[in-house]
Amino acid sequence: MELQERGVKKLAERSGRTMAGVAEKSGILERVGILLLIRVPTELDHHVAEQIREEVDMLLKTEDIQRLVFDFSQTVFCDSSGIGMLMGRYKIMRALGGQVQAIHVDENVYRILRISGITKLISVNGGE
Amino acid sequence: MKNQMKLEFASISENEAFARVAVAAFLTQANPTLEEVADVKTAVSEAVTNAIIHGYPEGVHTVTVAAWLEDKELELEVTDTGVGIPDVAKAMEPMYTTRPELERSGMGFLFMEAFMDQVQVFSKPGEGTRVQMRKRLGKRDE
Repeated sequence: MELQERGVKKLAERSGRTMAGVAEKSGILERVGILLLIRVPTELDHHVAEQIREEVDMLLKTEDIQRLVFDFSQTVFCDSSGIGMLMGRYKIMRALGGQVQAIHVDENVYRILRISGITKLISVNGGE
Repeated sequence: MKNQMKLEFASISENEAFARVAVAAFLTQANPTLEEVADVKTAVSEAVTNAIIHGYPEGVHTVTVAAWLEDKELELEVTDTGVGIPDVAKAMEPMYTTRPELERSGMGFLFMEAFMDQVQVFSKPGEGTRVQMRKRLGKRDE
């Protein structure tokens, strides 16, 4: 966790931007320069996926963001709606020439990501 | 011992979490493994989400979840009285979705089939859909 956060800070510094640290309305998003960190809640279902989608897409429209990092350290549940949301963000970032990453994925969530095949499209760490 | 339960709730997305947690609580008496609980929760979530999004594309209506447990055999039914599915076989094909604009991954039935032993879908256009699933629990005891 610490290492990852330090990495995030470094990346922001390297990009020559200041730490924005924007607190978005739900508190799940944090912007660090060109990187957007999404703290995925405990359960990523259709209801939560819709919220994340709305908030992330709103920022992507107005801000220069090149990396989406989904932090799954709190997450113990994910279903196909979560996969749909990740897949959608992957397509947008690919079109923008950016990247999507999932970090701190637990065993159970990893199983879902693997079955869906999204582990072949985005970088996933944890869970193996 | 045979046990059963039935839940009725409004077709709003907040209730997806309620439905899977309620079913998970019902299961505990069968002494399931953590993985089995996760499997069932995912399957319930998929079926209930389908009922909310596809069964009732407009308005708030009622979704019913019923469960039966006999020894280690779990049977689940998720029912809506919504629009129904014209072609069930097509709907169950992986990656098929009628609502790409909602970013549906088309993997709902795939996950239900992956995590339950048996999945059957009964549907009639204009009458609604009933998803019936079975799973044998407590595999660690065998």
